[in-house]
Amino acid sequence: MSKEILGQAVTRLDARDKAMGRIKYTDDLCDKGALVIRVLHSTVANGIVKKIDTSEAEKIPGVVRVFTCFDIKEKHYFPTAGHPWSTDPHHQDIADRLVMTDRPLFYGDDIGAVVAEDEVAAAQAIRVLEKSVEYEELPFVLDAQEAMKEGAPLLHEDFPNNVLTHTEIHMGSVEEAIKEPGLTKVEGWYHTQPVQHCHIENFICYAYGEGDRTVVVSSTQIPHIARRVIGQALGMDWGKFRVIKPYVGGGFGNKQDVLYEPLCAWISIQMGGRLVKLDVPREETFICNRIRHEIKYHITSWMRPDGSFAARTMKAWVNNGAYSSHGHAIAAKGLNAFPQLYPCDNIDGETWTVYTNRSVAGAMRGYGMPQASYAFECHAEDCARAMKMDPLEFRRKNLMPVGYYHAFSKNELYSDTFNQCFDKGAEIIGYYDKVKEYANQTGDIRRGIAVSTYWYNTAVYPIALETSSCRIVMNQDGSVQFQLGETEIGQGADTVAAQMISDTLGIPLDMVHPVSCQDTDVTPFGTGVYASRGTYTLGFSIKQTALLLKQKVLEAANQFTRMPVYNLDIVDGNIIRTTDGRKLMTIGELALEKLYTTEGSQHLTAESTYQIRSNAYSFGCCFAEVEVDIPMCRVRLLNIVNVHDCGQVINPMLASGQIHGGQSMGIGYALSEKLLWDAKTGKPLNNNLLDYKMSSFMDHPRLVADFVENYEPTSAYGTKGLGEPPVCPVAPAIRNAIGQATGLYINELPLSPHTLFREFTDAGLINDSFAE
Amino acid sequence: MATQLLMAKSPEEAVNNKTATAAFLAGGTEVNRLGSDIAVKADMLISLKKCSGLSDITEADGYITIGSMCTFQDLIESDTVPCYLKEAAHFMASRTKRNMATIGGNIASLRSDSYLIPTLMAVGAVLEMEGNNGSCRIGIAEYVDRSEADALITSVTVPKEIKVISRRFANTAQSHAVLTMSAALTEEGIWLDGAVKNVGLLHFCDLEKAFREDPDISEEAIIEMVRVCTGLHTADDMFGSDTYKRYLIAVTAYDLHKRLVGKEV
Amino acid sequence: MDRQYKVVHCTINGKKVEQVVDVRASLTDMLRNDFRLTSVKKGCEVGECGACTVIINGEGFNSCIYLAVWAEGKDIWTLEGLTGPGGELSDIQQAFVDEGAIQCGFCTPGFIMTSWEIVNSGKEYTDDELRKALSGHLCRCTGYENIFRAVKKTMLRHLGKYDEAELVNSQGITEYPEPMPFK
Repeated sequence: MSKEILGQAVTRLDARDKAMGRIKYTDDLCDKGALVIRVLHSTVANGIVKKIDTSEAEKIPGVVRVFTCFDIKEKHYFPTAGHPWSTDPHHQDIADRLVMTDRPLFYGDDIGAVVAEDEVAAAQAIRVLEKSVEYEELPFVLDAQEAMKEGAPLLHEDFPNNVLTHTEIHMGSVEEAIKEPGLTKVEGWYHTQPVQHCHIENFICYAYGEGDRTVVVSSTQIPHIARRVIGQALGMDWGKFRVIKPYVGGGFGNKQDVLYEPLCAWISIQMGGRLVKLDVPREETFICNRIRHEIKYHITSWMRPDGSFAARTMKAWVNNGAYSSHGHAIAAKGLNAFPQLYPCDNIDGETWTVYTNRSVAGAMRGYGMPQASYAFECHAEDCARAMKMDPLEFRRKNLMPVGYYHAFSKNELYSDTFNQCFDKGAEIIGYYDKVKEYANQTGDIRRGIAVSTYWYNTAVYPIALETSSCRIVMNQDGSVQFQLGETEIGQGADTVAAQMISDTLGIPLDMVHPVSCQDTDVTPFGTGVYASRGTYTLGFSIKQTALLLKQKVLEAANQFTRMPVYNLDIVDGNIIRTTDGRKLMTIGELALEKLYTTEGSQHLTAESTYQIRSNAYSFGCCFAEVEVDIPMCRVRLLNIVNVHDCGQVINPMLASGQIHGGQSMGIGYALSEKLLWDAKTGKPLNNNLLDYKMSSFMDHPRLVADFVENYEPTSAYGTKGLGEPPVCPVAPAIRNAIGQATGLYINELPLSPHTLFREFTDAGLINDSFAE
Repeated sequence: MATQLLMAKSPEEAVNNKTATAAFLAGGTEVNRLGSDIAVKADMLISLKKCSGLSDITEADGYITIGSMCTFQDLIESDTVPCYLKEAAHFMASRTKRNMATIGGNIASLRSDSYLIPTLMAVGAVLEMEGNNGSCRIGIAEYVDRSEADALITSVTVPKEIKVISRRFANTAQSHAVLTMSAALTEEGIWLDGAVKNVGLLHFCDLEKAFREDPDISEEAIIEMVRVCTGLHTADDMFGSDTYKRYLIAVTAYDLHKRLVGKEV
Repeated sequence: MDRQYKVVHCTINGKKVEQVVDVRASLTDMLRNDFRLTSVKKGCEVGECGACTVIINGEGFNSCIYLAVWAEGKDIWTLEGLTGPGGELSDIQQAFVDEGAIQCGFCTPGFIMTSWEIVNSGKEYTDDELRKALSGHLCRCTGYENIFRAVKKTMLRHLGKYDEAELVNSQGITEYPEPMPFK
């Protein structure tokens, strides 16, 4: 059976409970008696809080306490990113936040909080308080390049020109290389917009005292990191806090930041350990949690007549919002990818991460790669067109070749992944026929088809620590519970992990039980899920720990069967003598005997940590086919096919679900989503699900997901990252398809009717008397 | 913030209790949502759910009369309601909201992204109103002009046989519309009405006149008319630029007219 | 002004109940707080995400914008009520499990309630109509793909079209479909 369980589309272990509605998320677990916290947010984009008059708010029936930024006596600045901590100060995340601040840096910054008996009283108090704040308003800046100019408002004193970090890479000499005769220069600006994660469960946490410690239950991807940050934010020992993560209603990177856990814990402590709940309304989730970075890329390539690259440059300006959160990591990922995706001997790259007076940008599915992929793959298309080459053949010619080795990360491209994915995707969607069919169209309604790829690697080695810990505990019947630091947030980590344990331990899947709820008091240390690392990293600690346990089981079996360990194995829940395949006893009989034997009783359990010092490329592609109604400036996505190589697919049903979700997020990114701020006031304009719309049921075509399976040699189970990659190639594929249909290649997202209108009028595709 | 609720048993009771600080509450999709100005400004909400006689759909002399508390889904499922109105009701993409939102509520909220009003204006719908001075009937265009917040819409009457086409433009199926436009063909010619986001509910008289005077008028001429129209107060906002909205009005009007009078219907 | 309270009598998941509520309380709050029916989820509180959907007198409603007092005399069903007394899943629940229509699970209760209304309507919806009927629920995990398949298959089985339901099947990897007709 062991060969069968990996690669099987078993249903999620939590699916039944979720279908019954009995899975408990954070709010479902909180006692009804909890006091309710509502955060008072700044209504200026940059300023100083002079005074907050709390007297009126305190009179409202049901209001228990009002806290303001002036109640913070000791200022402990803390970092919020869900990164593994570094004991080396030079590699630590920037600590620039306070639980409440008198120096708000964006519209929505946290300047106070109300604690009330119910939501209604809290909401009333917030309305009153908003009118009771005296600000000294300061000029603000919303755009990254504007923020770098002399005289722009400075957000953080230690960061001149608001530049959080500026990094460069140089390979060969661009200056020399472009002297080569016969080169074609292609350059473009590529601009992506800020969007939000929109997990359906908003961020929520609650806190209460227990002994001399504080327990925080939180909807987070990173419980162990959250505990560390709470300690840092409150200036207390980390062990004074216990963080519990129940089931999570989606994270997508937003919950890879520490959001309001420190404030909630602080308030509980101020109130003697009272149970307090901080449930973030959707409006605040949009602007007071994290968002995706807006990035402007500028890319130039010099092409030889044969379509190869002589030299390439890129520059990127990354709008980070008011606080560092993940800092320069998002920009760095794009910069790192640039020379790898389309390798070239002569490369200059430069990127700036810039503070602005906007909502804080952090991690979001893809971690900078949807932006970078948009820029890189729009540009690749532009290069192919300039060289009059088929865009797909152009990519095949120039993409990272098989055998490519990256010295820093030690990543190697072991398989012909790109071509295999292209071939499969092209066949599914009928790419070559349609490219011909859609060439040279006229008329109002036109179709187009195109492809895009991306660069991605799994996990965060060697930039940061990669570690995974696992504990497996055997019951008297031979079934096991397991615990991991890699959190289940909806992606199916528990199920995939159980399949791995079942495989390695040799017991049926229904004998493997995840302890899904992470608790920093109980769960072995782990940094959570992000960077598409889950299936890759947990595999190492699972295999190591399952083998440890297996060894213990077989040693115990030796006691009862008298057979040497090297002649024993566990198959399908039975202790087998390998020499003749005879079943000697069931694992249940063994576990029972071992626990209750009066000679050498032992609790069969294993726990281990594995530090991962490898990483793996994870590539794929997206084909998109569109129909464009030119006069009405509308795009209809007809077909979308993603093909990914994530190594061995442990569970095809869950894996294709990851692709569908990424495609869906990519469709919204490409066509409709954009967070907006008022240029005059810095106020967010569309921070609710009425005005900001992710794509709904009727906006989707059928989503087609497929795989190329090249066993990843560095991996414990042949797997590599899949969570984030599917979102990366979608927007550029749609952009390129619109280009094929209309001849207009638009370098801005989203490709909404209004954007198309502007581009179509400018190009004279529609009546140009309206040209803006 | 409204803390009081009156469950009115009849339209009369609802109207009698309507003070300046009270607001009518129909299906709830507008008033009950978080952030609704209406519920924040009012002291009391007057729920119409238990009002008798507001949910009937009847037919007489070629006209259909629809009770104001009929939901969008009621309209869609009715055998009597004309198809053009069902089409407009379908503009509300969410089924669960269609089960709640009412025709009367959608009219009374006078939203500039109204689902139904453009269609109702194009067909010259007549509203039966219950006010402090008894009941009266007014055309929907008049209602839109002078919004009688204290009077209650009890029913909406629309013609059964009329050629109407409606269009809605939004970024996604569930987004607010930047433009909803309806055109109806009557004996007097084409009637053209629309809802333009953040501009309002508009009756496009000039365009109607242009189409009547020259049924073969070119698209370019219509575009130029709308482009320079000073009576149209569109502005740049998050739903699109001034020019985008004008362009969309023009090409949609032209397209609807062409389909209505031509053979493309 | 002081808050006003009222007693609501209704049937929830087949059981007659009465409850004092603030007249401005939403049905979501009453079901979650007073009856601990936590399958009813809060996602947006503006009636857009559909996570709070419950069935009232046979029709799906966004309970977050439905006043609790409106429930007077109504027959209300939440996801907890669809499971049989011995833990048996109804066919639509089972289809969500089997087809991989569930990921984080937060939108799932609302989706299942609307789907339950659809499959029990006795109607055969076209693909396009099904998408329209399910619109009003937002999901960020699944792209709606497997949800669509779960609902369609269950609908067909309810109509006795078992063979046709099996043709919809493509476990895990979706076979390439025909393009949707352009309207």
